[in-house]
Amino acid sequence: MQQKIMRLIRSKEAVLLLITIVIFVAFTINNDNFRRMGNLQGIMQTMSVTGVMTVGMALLFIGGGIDLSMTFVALFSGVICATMIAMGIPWPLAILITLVLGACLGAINAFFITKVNVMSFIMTIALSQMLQGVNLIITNAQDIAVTVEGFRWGARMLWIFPIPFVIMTLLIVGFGLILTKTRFGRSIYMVGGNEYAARLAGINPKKVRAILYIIAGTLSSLAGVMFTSRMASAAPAAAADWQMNAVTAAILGGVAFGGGSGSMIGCLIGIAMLNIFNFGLTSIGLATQWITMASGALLLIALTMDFLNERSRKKSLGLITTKKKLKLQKGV
Amino acid sequence: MGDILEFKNICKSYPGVRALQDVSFSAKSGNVLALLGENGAGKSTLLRILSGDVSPNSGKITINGEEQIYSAPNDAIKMGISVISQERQLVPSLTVMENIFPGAQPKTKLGTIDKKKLRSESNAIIDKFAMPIDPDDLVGRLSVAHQQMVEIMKAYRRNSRIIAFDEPTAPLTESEINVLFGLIDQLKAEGKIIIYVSHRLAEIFQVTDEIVVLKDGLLVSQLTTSQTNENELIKAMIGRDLGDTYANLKRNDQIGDVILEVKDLNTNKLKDVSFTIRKGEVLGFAGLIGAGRTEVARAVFGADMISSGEIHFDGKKVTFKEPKDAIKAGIALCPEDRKDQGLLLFRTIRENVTMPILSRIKSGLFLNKKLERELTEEAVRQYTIRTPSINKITRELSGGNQQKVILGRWTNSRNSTKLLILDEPTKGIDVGTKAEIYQLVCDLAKSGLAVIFISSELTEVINVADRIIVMQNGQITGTVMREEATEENVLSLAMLV
Amino acid sequence: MKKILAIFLALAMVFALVACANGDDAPPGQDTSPAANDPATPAARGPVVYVGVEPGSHIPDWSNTIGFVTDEVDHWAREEYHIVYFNFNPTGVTGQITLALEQLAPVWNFRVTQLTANNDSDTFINNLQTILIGEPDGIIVDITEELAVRTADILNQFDVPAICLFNMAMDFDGNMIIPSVVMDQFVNGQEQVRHLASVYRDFWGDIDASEIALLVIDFSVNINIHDRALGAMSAFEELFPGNRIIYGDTAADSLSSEAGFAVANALLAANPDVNYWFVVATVEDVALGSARAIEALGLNDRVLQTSSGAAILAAQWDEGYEGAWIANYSIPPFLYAGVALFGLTAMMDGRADMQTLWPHMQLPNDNAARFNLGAGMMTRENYIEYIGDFMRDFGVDPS
Repeated sequence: MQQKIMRLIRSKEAVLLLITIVIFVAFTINNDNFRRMGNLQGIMQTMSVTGVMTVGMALLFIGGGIDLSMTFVALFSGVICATMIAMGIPWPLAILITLVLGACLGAINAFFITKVNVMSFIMTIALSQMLQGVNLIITNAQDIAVTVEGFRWGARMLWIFPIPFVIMTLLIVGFGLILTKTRFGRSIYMVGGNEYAARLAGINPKKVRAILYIIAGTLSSLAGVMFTSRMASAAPAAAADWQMNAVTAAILGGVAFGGGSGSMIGCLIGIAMLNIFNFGLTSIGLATQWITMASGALLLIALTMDFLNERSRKKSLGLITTKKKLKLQKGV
Repeated sequence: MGDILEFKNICKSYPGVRALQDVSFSAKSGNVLALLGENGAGKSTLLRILSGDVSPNSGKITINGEEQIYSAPNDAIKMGISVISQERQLVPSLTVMENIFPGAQPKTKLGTIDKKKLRSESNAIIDKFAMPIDPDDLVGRLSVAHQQMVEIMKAYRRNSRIIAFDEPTAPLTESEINVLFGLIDQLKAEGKIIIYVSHRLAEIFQVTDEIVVLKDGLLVSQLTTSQTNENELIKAMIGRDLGDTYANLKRNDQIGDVILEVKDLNTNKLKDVSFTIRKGEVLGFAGLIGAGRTEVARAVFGADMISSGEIHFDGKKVTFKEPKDAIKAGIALCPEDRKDQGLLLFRTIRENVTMPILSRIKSGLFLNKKLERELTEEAVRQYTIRTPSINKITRELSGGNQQKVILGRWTNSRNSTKLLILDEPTKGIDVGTKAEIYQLVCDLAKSGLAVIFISSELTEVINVADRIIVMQNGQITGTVMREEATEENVLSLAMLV
Repeated sequence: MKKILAIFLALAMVFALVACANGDDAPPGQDTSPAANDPATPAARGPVVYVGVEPGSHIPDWSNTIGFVTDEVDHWAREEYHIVYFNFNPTGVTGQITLALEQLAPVWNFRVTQLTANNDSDTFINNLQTILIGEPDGIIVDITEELAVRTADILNQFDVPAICLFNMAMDFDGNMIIPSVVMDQFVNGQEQVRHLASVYRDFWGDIDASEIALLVIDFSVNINIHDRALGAMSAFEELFPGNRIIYGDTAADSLSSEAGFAVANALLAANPDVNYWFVVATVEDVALGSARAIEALGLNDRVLQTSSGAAILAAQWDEGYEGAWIANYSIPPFLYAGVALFGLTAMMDGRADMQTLWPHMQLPNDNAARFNLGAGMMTRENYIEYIGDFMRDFGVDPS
């Protein structure tokens, strides 16, 4: 038992948690109001949409892939859902259909990436563009308001927690359990960590990745629905950075870009860190240029940490030697 | 449990090279069989066939009489074969127990992983072999030796009947090696068939029961360990006849002053290396792969970092931070890997030859094409490079000619090379061209160059070089003059601890 | 070792930022950058035409009525005109303009096709030339300032009349070269604050005016939107001298409701000592997020919010929204579309050309008119008529 505690303390996630707490404390010292309930609920709200996407993104990262269509899948889903509700479809059914649609979009990604072998980067960006166009066509660039009261659960609370936050937490816990406790979850780590070893163990990396893309699509869809519910309005072209935030949060949470490591807890910490950071910076009235720079700096730190971690991992596997490459061409 | 693994008439060829020719032997359970041979003898090819990575062109493998046809490594694994190679097939971010049971973790009734059972079953194996590993450790944090143990346990858990080790002791310390041998003994006792590939004779005598010696793709002898000795093995491993060629070499007998002095050189692979070389001398470096000879070359050339020691070149103390510095001082290196590191394969002979001296053949802003052409033709003549034109793309040349192009690059009249380092210059070259290259080396020495000649082909080194330095494990184990050198004494210096 | 380094870095960064912000000695949320403190006077604007302040009246009493709705021209005495609406970037507003044009088309005898340049300048120029080769009768174009000169050249080459929307088409000296129908953004901001100043007592009773603070949520990288913020702050300083002004900017994030939510949430929460708020969220999308944040923080009874736009707020009201967002400065797309249409028709008929249209709206050095649309505030009480009236003015039945 004691060993387990020791291991927990030494883990990556503990460090990240510590950093998050440090950031939070720093802001609190500066402005006492930081801690109040209203703020925290607001932070919880902003966390949820990108948070849900981060879960999908993190799963993909662990398995060695990436999905850059998430923002527009989300926006598209919001639009579809709002349109359906406007047409009179009862909202629970509309949400369900939307989620299924998200899964299908994920499946399209999965097909082209695993079967046709298009690079994930390119495929998902392509899908993103297409959805962007479709969005504009459907809505003529107008926002669609949702007028059904029941659908507005996104703005309400469950006890003291905003409902979207609860959803996000459930997803994190759920996927966390899957990652640690099921074979499938383990196989994700293997596929991302050492694909050859995974294959030797009888795992089919393509199948695993395909499933991850479908999950990512569904989660993006859910994020879009949550957003629409919160705002009571679907925006087809909100120029939002959601997926970059998801990427940043994942990396901040210790989910390595190259695959094979990371955890859901880490994700949660990453999401919290990012949002607290942004909230804090805005509330101290920092000028926007500085906020952008600071966010960039945070991402840079996260990437550096990630890189250092990766290097030590690869070294231990004997995959990098320390020789410099011979630079014969320098004779010119 | 008496399994028999048989290799029957295995042949495997790659373009231009016959890796294995009609190799047949068998291995029994409860026995450790060593595969011994020089580099290029065919050991790794055999292992790859065994693991299902490649298929033989002809011949078959049988287990207990049943022919094995593998289309992928997974098939071999399913038939009970585990090859533990030098690259770990582990997932570093997962725990030991996850790596022992990849994809086959015991499940609970709910379908989730039964962590308790996973741990206890892993512990069972760990305890059986008395390994100092905890099932919850992260593999990425373990030492190489322990990672290897995890691989062994994975193989054991898979109920592999055949376990092959490919140079397992290379990254291990001595005490770790002993532990490994203890494990192998245990596996033997369990009735596994063990195949042990190595070139370290001492170990072979420690742990193996039978030895198969390969040479140039042929099975030369099959011996019982207890009935043989080192000398016999060494004799079986060597022997290539170029006898006459060597006798006819016109050597350089004018040896001048010391041009390079290396004192107590230490890098992360080398330990206390010291030697000198004189102008006009051909200094050979012999040893097995991993002995450190290439590392010496790279250290002298400025391609690797030196942690301590001194290099004096041409009378002055030098520290080369980059190959560029070495080249400027007059040292040239023809690397082992011609294709990746030496030639610009898709460029012409002309471009390759003049590459390092472009600044010297300029006139104003432009290249002096006439000069370029002349230099290249000079090289072609000097080295008898067989090509219809100097504008031919080097990729289309034969290996021998490619090597000559590289030589031409460093030794033409505009180049002021004083020390030429050749790393495995005759690798993959036919016998006839080899002879040419030997003579060229001697000619270069005659013209005043100092030449360091690194080769794993013993016969070559001891017949071409004037003096031979033998290395093992990053250290110099001895120096032999050509007149006194025999294959046996050099090989002994290279292999015996 | 690495981990300690990482923690240290994060700490250092956070403290540096905090120190940076505090060093300015301003209360949280105050921006001391020059842009905020210096309500720059925008370039000479020319007369502002307030259209629709009283529903029903929409033109000043000027003798020259060419290019307005009431000039007596029979639009059906000619063949159908083909008008192209070419926009630089498809957004919510451009979509509404297209809709408006499509509704106007059957009434005034023209057909409209719509094209976009997808936010790319090269595409814009190329597409423009392609369009002109197709010989439309007129173009309604919305451009960015850098493209104005080039666009004017091309139009003159092909001799097709055009009207610009949203941005003024000026040459490098600031003189107009294509007649443009724009909204005065600075006035936009001012009007919003003036409206709030005139109605706040209806909501809060007779409170002490010095307790009101202004929160401006800007999107500073867009000059038009930024002008609104400047206008709002200028009017507030005038009407409530000495009161707190807090400046927020979603430019670091995006122009979206999520960003609006985050910024509003952060700044409102950072100043809990403020009793009453005016919130001017310069763009509707941002305002939507801000409205949600206000709700979430439970501040609906202490905040009054305005924004600029129409569709989103109207939709919210349709749905029954009753929160702090009480009004919009709104120039309905119908107004833009209609005014542009009639100006264009006059040119297509040949009764005016780009240089001579709307002469009373040209400044001495201009070569084309600047039609500055002013408007009124759309409130919950009047919004249905407000929008409907404009449609009726231009001959379209709002139902």
